[in-house]
Amino acid sequence: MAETEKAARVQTNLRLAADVARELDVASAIEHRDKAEIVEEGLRLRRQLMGEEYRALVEAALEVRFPTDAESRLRAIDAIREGVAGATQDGSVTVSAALARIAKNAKVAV
Amino acid sequence: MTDLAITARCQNDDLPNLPPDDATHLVNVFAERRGQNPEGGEEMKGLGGPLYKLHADLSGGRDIRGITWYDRGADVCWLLAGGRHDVYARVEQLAKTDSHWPTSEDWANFEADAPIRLIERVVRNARTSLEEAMKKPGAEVPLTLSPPPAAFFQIDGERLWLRATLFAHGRRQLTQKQVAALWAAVFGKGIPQEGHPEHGGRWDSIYLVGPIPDLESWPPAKSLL
Repeated sequence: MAETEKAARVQTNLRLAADVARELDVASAIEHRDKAEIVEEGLRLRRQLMGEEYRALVEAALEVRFPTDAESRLRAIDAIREGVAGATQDGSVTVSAALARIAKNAKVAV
Repeated sequence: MTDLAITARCQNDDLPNLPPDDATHLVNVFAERRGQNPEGGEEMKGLGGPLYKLHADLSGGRDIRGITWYDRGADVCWLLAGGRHDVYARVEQLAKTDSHWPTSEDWANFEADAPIRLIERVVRNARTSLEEAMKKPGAEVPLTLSPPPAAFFQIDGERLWLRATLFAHGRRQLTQKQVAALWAAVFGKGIPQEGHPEHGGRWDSIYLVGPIPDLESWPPAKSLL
């Protein structure tokens, strides 16, 4: 078989590691969906996860990790929080947010 | 690995009543000690929980105390209150109306904080995991397993692979914000890069790859967290 033909062939009989195959079985049973459809969704999600807005999110995460000042850290924390019903803006209960608030209040007091 | 959280009541009512240096010290001691052992310290009897006393005294007679509670189901340790020695009496007072516990709003905010908690968890555990991965090149070493997403290190030549699982328990576990959080926590200011190992990867995972961090300077000082 020519090399180009080999390269064009699509593998359809995926051999998965035992634990991954079990996960896939469970997901398929719970969601009542075809296994191939779930694998396709996984691959699609991988592409989406590294999409356009990803770079901006990394910038925000970096500001949380390596803060330049307390206020920008708090803004960055808000930017990368997930949308959850009942959660409040500026309502982070993390250690990072608590330290940034203390630093911000100390600056205001000075 | 246990998550850490601080109730809004503690942040709004208790910490501002301490000098900023003392409040920062209390939060750092909470993160350091309860990150290692969420149920350490002397138990505060009679208030349920169980609640634990956190002693974070500084030299010069500055007594700094906290009260913590570990929720085993959610694997999170909460700082419920902080202050001077009189904080115990105040918590007893609050307990009469159950006002010392995390509120439903605290729990919602805790859920929303998932990417930030992931950064904090990874930074606390990364050094140990990286050291282990460097000893066993080619082997996957857990970085964080619970709560999801699970993430693993693997050393391959001069590169560090970070694998994070997309799915667990039949549903998607990884968001775009969490991927960004993982990148920032592990690789810092390098250029984000997704890859796929030459030896084949798993369909249910996302792979990030970058240079192996220098253990001499990584992770950064605790004061940044």
